Amino acid sequence: MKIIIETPKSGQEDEIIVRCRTLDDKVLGLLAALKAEQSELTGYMDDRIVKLVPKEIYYFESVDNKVFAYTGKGVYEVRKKLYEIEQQYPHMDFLRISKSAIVNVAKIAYIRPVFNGRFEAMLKNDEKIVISRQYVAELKKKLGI
Amino acid sequence: MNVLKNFIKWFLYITTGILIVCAVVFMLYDMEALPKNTLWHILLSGFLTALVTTVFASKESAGKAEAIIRYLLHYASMCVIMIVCGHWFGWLNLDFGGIMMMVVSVLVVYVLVLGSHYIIDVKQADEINRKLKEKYKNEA
Repeated sequence: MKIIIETPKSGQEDEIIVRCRTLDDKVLGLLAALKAEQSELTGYMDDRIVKLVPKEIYYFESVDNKVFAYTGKGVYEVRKKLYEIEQQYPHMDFLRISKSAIVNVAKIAYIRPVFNGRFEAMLKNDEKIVISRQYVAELKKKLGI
Repeated sequence: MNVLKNFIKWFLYITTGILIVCAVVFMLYDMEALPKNTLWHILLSGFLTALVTTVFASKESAGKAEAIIRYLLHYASMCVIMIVCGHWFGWLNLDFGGIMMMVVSVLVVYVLVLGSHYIIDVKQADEINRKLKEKYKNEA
């Protein structure tokens, strides 16, 4: 597949044009990823309602039946279940890493094994999050290992 | 399926550990021939301890304190299994010296197995970290 990047003339909007004979799974996957990246999530903090950009979220965590999104700017409640987030962004870098958390793989600085047989991910904002052993295979798959 | 895979993994790790300890003991006692059925005894004790280990490893510990308690309980259960098996197989006498020998042997196998498991985990983490760096080198 040929990729062409053109600079629009001044005053023109940025746009993506897909020129293909058939909309196969590969193209549909790319389109879904582009759409997901553009779709925002609604975050709630106290009385404020904020639009969250998915790729800026470090991780989601479920605590007492509520799901929170951790971003560089704060922690927001998102009124969705973890499995709904997984379904909404299948082509993004989100990955389930335990029963109660989804991490943005792009925000992982490094991982290391820890004492209790699990792995720990150090995120780029210096937060640590636990990766259950059973999800390590999925992480490797996501990274193409 | 995962349980079976984990059981096979633990069986291979533990049996290898027991085999190493037996080889050292045989060498120290300068034994010329293996007692009859020893290899079956090693396989059976490996099977039983791997079975219990698979159950212990199936649930992850929430924190460090819980993990330490689980390790201690697991180690104690390994000692009990090996003392009973050892007595049954005629490997030890049920006196203080015999029991201590088995407790130390189990500790050696325990350290060997956990050590090799940790080394594999470190290698796995290194591989993942390398891929993370490659894939997200331009991400802030």
